[in-house]
Amino acid sequence: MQLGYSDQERAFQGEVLAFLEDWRGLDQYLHGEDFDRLRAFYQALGARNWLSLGWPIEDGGQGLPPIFEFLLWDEMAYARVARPPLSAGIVAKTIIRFGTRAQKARWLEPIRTGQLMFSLGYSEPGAGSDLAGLRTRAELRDGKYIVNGSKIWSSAAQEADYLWLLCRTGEVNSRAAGLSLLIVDLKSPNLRIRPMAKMSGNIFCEIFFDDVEVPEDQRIGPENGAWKMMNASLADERHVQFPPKRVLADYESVRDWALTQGLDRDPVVREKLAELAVGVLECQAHAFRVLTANHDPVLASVAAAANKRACTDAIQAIARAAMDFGAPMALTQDAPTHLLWRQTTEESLGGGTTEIMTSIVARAGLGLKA
Amino acid sequence: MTPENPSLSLTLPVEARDFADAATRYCARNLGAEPHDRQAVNFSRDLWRSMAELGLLEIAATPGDSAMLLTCVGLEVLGYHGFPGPLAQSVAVMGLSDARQPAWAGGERVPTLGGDVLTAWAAVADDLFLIDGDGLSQARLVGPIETLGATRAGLVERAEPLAGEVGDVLARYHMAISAYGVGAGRFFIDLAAEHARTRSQFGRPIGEFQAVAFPLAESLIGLEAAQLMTRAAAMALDAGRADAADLAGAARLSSTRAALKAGFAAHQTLGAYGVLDDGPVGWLSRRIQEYATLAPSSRGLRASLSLDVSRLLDPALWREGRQCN
Repeated sequence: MQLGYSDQERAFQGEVLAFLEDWRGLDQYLHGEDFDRLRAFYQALGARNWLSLGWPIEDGGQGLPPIFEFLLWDEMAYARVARPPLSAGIVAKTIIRFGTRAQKARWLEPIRTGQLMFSLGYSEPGAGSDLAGLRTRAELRDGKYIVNGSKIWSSAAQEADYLWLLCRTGEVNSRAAGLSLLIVDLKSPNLRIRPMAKMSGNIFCEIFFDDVEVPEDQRIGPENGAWKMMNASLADERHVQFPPKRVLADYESVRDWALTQGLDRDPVVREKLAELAVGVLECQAHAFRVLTANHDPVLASVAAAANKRACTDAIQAIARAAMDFGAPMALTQDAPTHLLWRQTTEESLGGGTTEIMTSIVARAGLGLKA
Repeated sequence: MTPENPSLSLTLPVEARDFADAATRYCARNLGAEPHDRQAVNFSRDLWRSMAELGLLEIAATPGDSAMLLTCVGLEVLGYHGFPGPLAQSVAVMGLSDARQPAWAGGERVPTLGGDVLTAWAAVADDLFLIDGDGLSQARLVGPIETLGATRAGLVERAEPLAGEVGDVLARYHMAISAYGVGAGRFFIDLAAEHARTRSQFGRPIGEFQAVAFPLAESLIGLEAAQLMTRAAAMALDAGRADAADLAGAARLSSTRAALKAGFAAHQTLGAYGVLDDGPVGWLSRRIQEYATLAPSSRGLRASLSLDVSRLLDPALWREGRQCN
């Protein structure tokens, strides 16, 4: 049993912290608004080959184990600088696993250097957690897919370059067996984006497709073969899905705010802060389990689901406790409690809802088919 | 950059796994394989001596590379089987320099420890200790008293004060009670999950209903974290880290919360069967509640735990031999 970093990992963490000094204040973790600086930040990461830490060397990556990506994004979360870009994670890793040589040549280099931003096009008005029921349709005609339908809850699509689109290419009732993945240029004709503001201040988008043309060579993997690829790519990203230092950062914000307000003199507040601190440690423990469970797919999925559930519970408990401490100043725009209360509400939905995560633990961890 | 060998590992050392196996065999032999066998087993001197022969208390008394980690996994197993007796209390006082230590380790004398006038296992113990705001002292039994957890508790009063550092004793106690709770919590989950898989209502196993399955899954999530924190606390004690007491305290809060949640979920999952006086849950859930309530209590810990504990598991702070704070 070993709970410390190796010298190499510790050295890398030191490099990350040094790099972060130039980017403190970017503050795009909780609310991404400054997309120009966010692009510049991703490009700076790309210049250091840090967007491709876990990619295979033959695909332009560093070939490093998942803990390096974890270290990078854990520190980014603590500094609240930014989240891992979809492009270098799910998109690139799926292309690496399932793309053709030509697709790798076309997409990996601009992703590796931080030139491209992707948005995720999975959910639909009628298909959220039950993605296999989605209806947005792509039909192959003369070397092009013609896409019709709509997507919803796509984050930052108004600023991204491409959409990672999950769509139906099989029969209407083909469920998971009739889905494909396409890369769609978000500037395509007949594609319309409607932004919607979230409580957090971030932007969700609804995307409408009306005979949008997508070249056939922008389909990644086999037609109707998306489901297996999606599961593989989810597994690839488990270790960065919810970094524990995001929870620590939230806790420290609320704790420090409470201390500044003198609230810790109230024994009820004091005890609640101690409980929240224990919750932070529990999230760290779950992160260890995720990082060490890679050898067993079932264990890994349970560990990742437990981690997501524990972390979202913890940040919501932290934000909501602050409102319960009885200080009206918690409600003001300047208090960190204000944004945390608004933002944490969405974390138990994105990336797999609390209900789905708990169901995974019940099924795979306890053999209960709930 | 070429990767070195992976750093983080949650795999227990071979000796810890072997000790856990030995403890499991011991429990099957001496407590019975089924819950209804185990719940009927009460504390006795013979049982206590047989447990001591397993080596748990001797290991806890002997400083070594992994002594506390072995103690921790042993207590997890004993907690899973609901072993009756002052286990955590004994592990705690094994940290004292005391001439009676060999007799405690061999099971010939039984010590216990409390933080208030009401102390678990005091009615069956030979040597009583108190830790309170005045430090560590010996105590004497005033009289036995029946309690929720049926721990053969007693009312005690302070006797001679003892010199020595109480921090290590408390840290051991928190770690040990936490390990016992982790085991008990896992027992509750296994028992309830088995029932939920096999008991059918409305034409299907009740575990297919999320209202039944989710509290068990949530308890499992809590216990997984608590187990790792407790083992980490044991490792911190083994390493003599300055922050071991903080980590042990945090682990205990985590374990207590998770074990109680698991116990309540088991009561509910088993339905009326789960609330029978001689049912399969209450005999142990009552003990876990008692351990949470008795001083040194969870409440007291929440009032005193450092609010800076949240980086205690940060791998950056777990450099071998390095002390935090």
